[in-house]
Amino acid sequence: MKEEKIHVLIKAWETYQNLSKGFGENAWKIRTMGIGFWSAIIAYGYQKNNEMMYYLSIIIVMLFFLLESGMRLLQQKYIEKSIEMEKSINDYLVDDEIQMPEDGISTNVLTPTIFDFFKLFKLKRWMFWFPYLILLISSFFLKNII
Amino acid sequence: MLSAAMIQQLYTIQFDHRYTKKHISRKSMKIIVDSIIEQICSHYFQIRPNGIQKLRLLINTKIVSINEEEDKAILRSLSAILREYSTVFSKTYSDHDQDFNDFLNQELFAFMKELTNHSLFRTDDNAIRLRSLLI
Repeated sequence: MKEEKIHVLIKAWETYQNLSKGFGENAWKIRTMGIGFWSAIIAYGYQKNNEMMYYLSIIIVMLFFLLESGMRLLQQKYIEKSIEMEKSINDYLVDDEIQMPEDGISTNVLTPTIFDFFKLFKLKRWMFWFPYLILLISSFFLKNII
Repeated sequence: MLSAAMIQQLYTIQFDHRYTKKHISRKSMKIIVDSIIEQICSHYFQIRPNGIQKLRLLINTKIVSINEEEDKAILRSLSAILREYSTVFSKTYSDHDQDFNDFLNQELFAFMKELTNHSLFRTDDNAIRLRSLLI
């Protein structure tokens, strides 16, 4: 009985890991697309000496930042589910009574809140927001010197 | 089992958490929990803890040979603390602020209740003060 339970838990854990991986990959695709668009707009603005393009580049950075934030928030939700599943699997490994996660096994996640969004700006998440900050600063810098 | 100083520390934490809402740092809480684990391990198993999951396995193996229900209750509540330990006290990339709060309100609270109800502490002044906060 315990063995059957653990197989189900492991399968659920793998599903959450795959979902989390998927959102991670999407986030990277959005980022690379965003950097590509930004570069193209900056290059066009420089070539045509068009100041409006620099403002547009700032909007593009913010837009792709929001898009990637969405992916990261959803990824985080599945990582949390995965961690709960790992606790249950560890219960089995230490001969403890297996405690099911609160919500059982479910791919439903709570809607990310504005508080979750602001947590993305924490210092330890610099790998997420710092590149966008660099792009924003670069847009202002390039607008003023070129 | 636990030193008077440790019970006093637990009293301070519970008082701050419940009444003054003073921020309890994760770092200081980790030091206290590590000390609790070491003292309980020394009392029941005469060993030093050598890994959270190994300790959980040891508790689950040895608990069947323990006769007193109050001792079993303490070990079960300690096992519950160990279950959450990695999540609550690790410096991982994921955010665990809510887990820390839940830990204070659930696992640590349950452990303090079992501790203060143990016969060893029934007449201990520090434990009596702590018990009064747990109602």
